[in-house]
Amino acid sequence: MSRVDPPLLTGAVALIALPLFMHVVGLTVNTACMAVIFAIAALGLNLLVGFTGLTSFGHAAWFGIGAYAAAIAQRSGFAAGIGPPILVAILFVAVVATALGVIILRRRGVYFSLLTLALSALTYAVAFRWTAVTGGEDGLGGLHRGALGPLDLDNALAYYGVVALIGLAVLYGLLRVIRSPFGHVLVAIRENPLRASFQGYPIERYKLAVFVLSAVVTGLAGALSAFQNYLVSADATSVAYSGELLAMVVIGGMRHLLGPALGALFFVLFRELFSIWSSNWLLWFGLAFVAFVMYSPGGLIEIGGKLRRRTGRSRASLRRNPGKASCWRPSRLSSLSAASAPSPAPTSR
Amino acid sequence: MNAGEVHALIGPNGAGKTTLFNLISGRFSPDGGAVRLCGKRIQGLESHQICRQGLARSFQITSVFRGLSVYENLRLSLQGGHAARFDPWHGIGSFPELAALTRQLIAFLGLEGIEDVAAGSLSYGGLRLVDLGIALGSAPRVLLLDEPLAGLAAAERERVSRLIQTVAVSIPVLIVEHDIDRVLGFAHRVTVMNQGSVLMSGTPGEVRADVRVQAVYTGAGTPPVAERKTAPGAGGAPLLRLERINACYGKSHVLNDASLDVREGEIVALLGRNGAGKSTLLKALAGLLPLSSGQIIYRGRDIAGLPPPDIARLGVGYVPQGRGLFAGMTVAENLALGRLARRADGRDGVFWSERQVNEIFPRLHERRSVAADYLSGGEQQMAAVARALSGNVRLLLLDEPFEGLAPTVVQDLFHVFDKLRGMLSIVIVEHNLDVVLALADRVFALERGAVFHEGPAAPLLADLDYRKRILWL
Repeated sequence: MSRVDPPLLTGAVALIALPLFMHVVGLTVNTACMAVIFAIAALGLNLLVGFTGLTSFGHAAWFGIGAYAAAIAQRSGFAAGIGPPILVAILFVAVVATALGVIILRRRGVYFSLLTLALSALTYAVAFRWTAVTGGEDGLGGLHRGALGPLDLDNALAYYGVVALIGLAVLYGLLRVIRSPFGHVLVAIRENPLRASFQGYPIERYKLAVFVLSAVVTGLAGALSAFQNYLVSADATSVAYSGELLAMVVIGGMRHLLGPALGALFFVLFRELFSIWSSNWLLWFGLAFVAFVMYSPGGLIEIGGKLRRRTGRSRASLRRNPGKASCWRPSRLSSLSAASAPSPAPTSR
Repeated sequence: MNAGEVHALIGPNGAGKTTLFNLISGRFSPDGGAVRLCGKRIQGLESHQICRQGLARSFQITSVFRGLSVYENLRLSLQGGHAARFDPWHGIGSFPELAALTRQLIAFLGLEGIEDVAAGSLSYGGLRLVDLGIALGSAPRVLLLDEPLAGLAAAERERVSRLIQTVAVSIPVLIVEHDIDRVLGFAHRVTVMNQGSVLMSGTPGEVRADVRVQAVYTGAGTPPVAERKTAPGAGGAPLLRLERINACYGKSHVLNDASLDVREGEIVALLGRNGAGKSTLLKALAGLLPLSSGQIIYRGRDIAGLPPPDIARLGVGYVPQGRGLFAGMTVAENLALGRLARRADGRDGVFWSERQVNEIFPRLHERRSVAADYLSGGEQQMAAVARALSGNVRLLLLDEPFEGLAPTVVQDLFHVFDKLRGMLSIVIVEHNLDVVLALADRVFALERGAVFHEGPAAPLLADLDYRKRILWL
């Protein structure tokens, strides 16, 4: 492919502009880095929530497991630098997600969601109590980023560069997945699992695959956050953090690949800027979340799209989706016939 | 089933046709017996494996990927048989043969020009075509179609049935359909089912002529379970009048300018085949389904558009199909809930006190502390009727009250309804024609949401030839 994808281009430009933007609003490169890490985690979660229709209330579990796995790998001397521990984290999350996915995916709908919630609560309890392995309340500290060639990763901007490149790679990979036959089947499962299975798709296998992929991407973000903070604490696996991840997805817009990334940025900005004025920023964030769910289920991305459409050549695309027609009438019979499309059909075909 | 054959499966409600489909296609797995597809046993396999073996089905309730475009819907179906269906890396656009096949399928279905429209915003006829197209997309060796014509208008029926005949030239089609005229018109073989077993199999001509089949559909004319004891409800004052009401389920236009009237103290039966709109009419009366137009004049005022609780408090009692009891609550609690929100003093209409319920249905008294879902079907029906009458009722709506009940229970209920004649008005929907015609004073026959016949019930009960002329084929 010679041409660059619009979403990929948007992502790349945003990643370059983000540190500058943060500087303008008075925030640090570290904040920008956290925003990108949250964005990766939310992208992973959205694969499950937005594209496959499986709402996970416990994705922080994967974030935390990824973070702990990377930290433990580095501290035990088993893997040096940041690359090998991150690979270990990815592998570990993949194995655990496969094993747990087989169990959790046996339940559907709200029971699936409750099991993921339980997973997050369980992971948190284990991380908090199992002091010998996880450091318990104190967490696991003393991590180091090392260097990448001549680049000293302890420099915030250098580490941001690494995280941004990984984020871009994740975005590229997810784009390919979403546009592949596999990705289209995921959407089919979201829309109508019964019919998908009657069309010959072993939907349980698809669900397990996307569950693992989603966990791995979120776990990767967790590993990156461990080195970002030089510390892993049990909070990374908490139910509350799971909810925040879900809020990022919903606020950003779950029907669009880039939506959750936007939501993550919104979350970080909201947290940083509001906490200057009010220690109750989470209350306001919660209200914003409720407002999005009620008035703009499509999230920020949809609001952006609406604004763009309002300003211009939107009429045609609106007419093509007449929305929920009130009632089917015999007079609309003709819409069945080949030529009469809702929009003026091209004359030559 | 042989290639080039359309095999129709017909039978009244509850005969087990859709259940048979679900068993064949792997939604449920059979307790015993064998299903063979091209010589291979397929029973007990999962539905996606059965599909891969070459069996595709459509659904009675249209089942498409609503949020996706028509093109994507059909491509997803074709992609199921493609080697790359698990491919997570290459763009979907990089499989030109898939795109070509999809375009062919769209052309075959005549859906060109609306490929990019979201399936959810199509007309009902379009949805049924996409549903059919998805089934065809998996390149089946056998096609099962569950009521492909249900809810379609005449011209669309014509179009879809022609499409089915075209398909059937190369793929054998097993079709369940209630539009018997049409399906007998193009089927090569017909199997009639009744109450879970096959009644007969033969050519359409044989089926049309078969006495047993006619009996299944129009009743045998054998003595009804009970002689009615009360005199016919003499033409009292009008209680209810429906004027040209229209209603839709989503895009399916179910009631089509239906008009009827009910007088004080009479029993009115709604007849008609499946999907004719009988139950829908009762739901519209009870306020459970909004009308798109028309008036419901009840005791001099228009109640169309009122919420169901208000309608219930005006004295309309509704016994839904399947009884609608509160499972997990005891019989006594169910009845108490029937009493709670309505006036229960008998001043306006009929009201049964607890004592009366016990006299009329002694069984319920014995079972009063048993959870409703542990009752037998007959007891549940009694509880549902008793609950409806636990507040003041002037008009009682009964949806299939005799469905699935043993003859003695049918007889008991029959007597109860018979006794209510003169005290209140009843509108009853029932497929058991012998019973319902014996009970009713007048009948309205519906077809595709419109009333096509109205008249007294007695001639239909007594004169079988007349009944067939009106109700059969």
